[in-house]
Amino acid sequence: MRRLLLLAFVALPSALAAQSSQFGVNGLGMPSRELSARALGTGGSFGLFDPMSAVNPAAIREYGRFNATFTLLQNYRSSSGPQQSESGRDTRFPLMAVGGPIPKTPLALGATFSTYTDRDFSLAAGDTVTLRGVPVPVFDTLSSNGGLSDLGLIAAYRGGGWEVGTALHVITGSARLSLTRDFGDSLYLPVSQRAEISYAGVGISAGVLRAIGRRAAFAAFVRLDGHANVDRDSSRVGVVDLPVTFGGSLRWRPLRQLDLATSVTTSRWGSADADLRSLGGTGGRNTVDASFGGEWLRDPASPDRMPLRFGAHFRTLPFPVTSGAQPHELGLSLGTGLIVARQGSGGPPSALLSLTLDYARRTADGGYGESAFMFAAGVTIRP
Amino acid sequence: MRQAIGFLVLAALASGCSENLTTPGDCPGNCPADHLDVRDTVITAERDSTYTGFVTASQGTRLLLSDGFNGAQSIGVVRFARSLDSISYLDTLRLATRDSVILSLTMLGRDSTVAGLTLDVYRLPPEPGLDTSTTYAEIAGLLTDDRRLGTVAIPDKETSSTLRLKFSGAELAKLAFTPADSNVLRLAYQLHSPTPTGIAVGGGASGTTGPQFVSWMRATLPDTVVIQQVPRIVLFNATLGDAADVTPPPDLLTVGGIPSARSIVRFSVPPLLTDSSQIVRATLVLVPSEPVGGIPGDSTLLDVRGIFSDLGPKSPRIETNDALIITRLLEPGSVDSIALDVTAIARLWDSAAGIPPALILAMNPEAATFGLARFASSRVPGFAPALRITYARPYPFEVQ
Repeated sequence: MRRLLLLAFVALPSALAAQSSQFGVNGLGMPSRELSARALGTGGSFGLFDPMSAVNPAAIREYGRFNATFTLLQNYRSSSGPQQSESGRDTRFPLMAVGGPIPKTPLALGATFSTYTDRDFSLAAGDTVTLRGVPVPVFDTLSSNGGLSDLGLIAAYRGGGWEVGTALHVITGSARLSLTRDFGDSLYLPVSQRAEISYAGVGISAGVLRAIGRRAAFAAFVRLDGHANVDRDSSRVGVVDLPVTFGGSLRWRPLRQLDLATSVTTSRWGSADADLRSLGGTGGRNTVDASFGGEWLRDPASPDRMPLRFGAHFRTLPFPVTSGAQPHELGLSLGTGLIVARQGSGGPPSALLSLTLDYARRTADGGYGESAFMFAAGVTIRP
Repeated sequence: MRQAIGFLVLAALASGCSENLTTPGDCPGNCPADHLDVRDTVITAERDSTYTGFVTASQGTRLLLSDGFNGAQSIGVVRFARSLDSISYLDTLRLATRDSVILSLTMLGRDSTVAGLTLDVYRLPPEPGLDTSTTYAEIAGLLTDDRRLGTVAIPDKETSSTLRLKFSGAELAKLAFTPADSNVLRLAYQLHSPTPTGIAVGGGASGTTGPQFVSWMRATLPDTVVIQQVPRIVLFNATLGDAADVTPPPDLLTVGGIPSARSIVRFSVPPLLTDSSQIVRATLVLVPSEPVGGIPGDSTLLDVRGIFSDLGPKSPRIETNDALIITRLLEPGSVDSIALDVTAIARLWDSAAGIPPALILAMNPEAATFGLARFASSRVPGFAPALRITYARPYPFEVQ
């Protein structure tokens, strides 16, 4: 059974990609939190301490051995606008992380490949336009597939009680967009247009992690993402500033079985505001992501065996649906994990499965709302 | 417990293999139409030309018989394949005699308000021969009573019917061949009408509706009598008229007539429309300079197509797809402007494909109707052919 589970994950087609949210239509899309299924289970509060997440480069020094983690996210959502509502579902493959310590050194190396922003969406709307002096019903569909990806190359060092890490981020990706318009009057042939918008940028990040006594720890990071060149079908159409992101987190273990954490992160997407507006968009806003959560261990000696993870988060989203109104998201999450395979009988775990159910409610002024249930599954392999 | 969770995971994954990304687009805000710019423009023709001689009088699919229509007379002439004097029976050719004959025509169009029409059928002598050089004047003098095989009364009100003459017994003498005939039957059809009008009958190129010459041949054998039906095909037919050939007026676009005329209308469409924008509707507007010619009941279609390249009268027409052949029924006597939807053709006009922004106008069928249309050309200010184009500008995807 365990092997079957692993095979199921490995055999998943990579075409299973896409998040779609009406709050990811504008700007550069829906920002990913770049968290593993395990960190999502705690509302994201453990993200800065989690080596399987792509947030704090210092965290990979937490790997005790080589790890490879794959995360799958299944999203069921119900979106509503001022006039209508619709339900949808999608699947994405938002994070892969590999890394581990360099034996006999205080160093650890790793790499992550994660979704930076998601630009999968499909908008459908009906309207009436006046053509040749006559009102003509039209039905429009705007679809996008793609987004920006973040390839992180990470190095971390442990010394003097500190864990320090740094990472180089290559931000690249594209969105294939298409627009179709069908006219109610068959004398008008449908409009069908396509374009590929591609993005390229580079960023760096640095982070620290330090234990405070035996029951607490502190983590912080800062990330500078420079700017992204925006090309339409290989022609430069603009440059968009990417944000400076920084945050901090505290972790406290009041009981041997209970681990709590809280974190606050801010991304300065406001720096992209002018660039996005110059392209005709609704601009960008600074965001805050605050989370709190914990992990209840059934067996502290075997922390990966069916722990109970819980958490909540609140975050603002950078790209308004309409000018001026910044969307925000409130989420609750619950998760667990299980050991799928061990190295020999009674040996250390060699394959782990993390499961998280996340509920998020996104709202924005103007009557825009969205409820989403996200089921995250993460497989960690420790060969 | 672990197995139960595993099954749940697999079930969730299986259900996740399909996607539904669509969310409602609300305007303004998440509105796909917000940035789609649809515009309208009118482009007048810059250069146009009329060319004649595409389909001649002997190539049309119909013969046009006229008695005074447009002040002209026209007759139909036909030459059949050589008749046989034997039939094949039990793999042997047997000498046969003509038992009976039917000569027939299929009427395909007429003005049903004109009554009392009759059709005279004449047998023509071997000289002058019937070919593309034969003129009306040469034949008209031969249409005498002694050569008339018979007269068919055309039923009033009927717009299509088969007109037949039957010969048997002593009447077969009218169709007897002499050595000078070379066993070839040559006929002329002349219409008579109390008021000027015309009818269209099927020509040899139309297939089964063409002129028919069918003999029933009898062969008497020692123990039986064999009768076989022997049809002869049309080798040549033509409409011959007394109207002088008219050179198309230089400032008008002429379409139709015999031999048929076509007109090419050329537009200077900016690359903005053909290359970067998407045409959603294109309407060609033509202004008749005179009432459309033709007789009621003789269906005449204006045929508009694109051209692969502009080679003047030899421009190859685009007819690879029925959707690219635009037709409009012309009402005889009408002076109304004609608007034709040519969107499917206009969408071909991108510079990469090399399809020139031009339209070629023709009559359908050519040289086979009384229809004749003349439209104002680009040299007639205010009435030049125009193309009204509705187009969508490139969508600014980078805005999203």
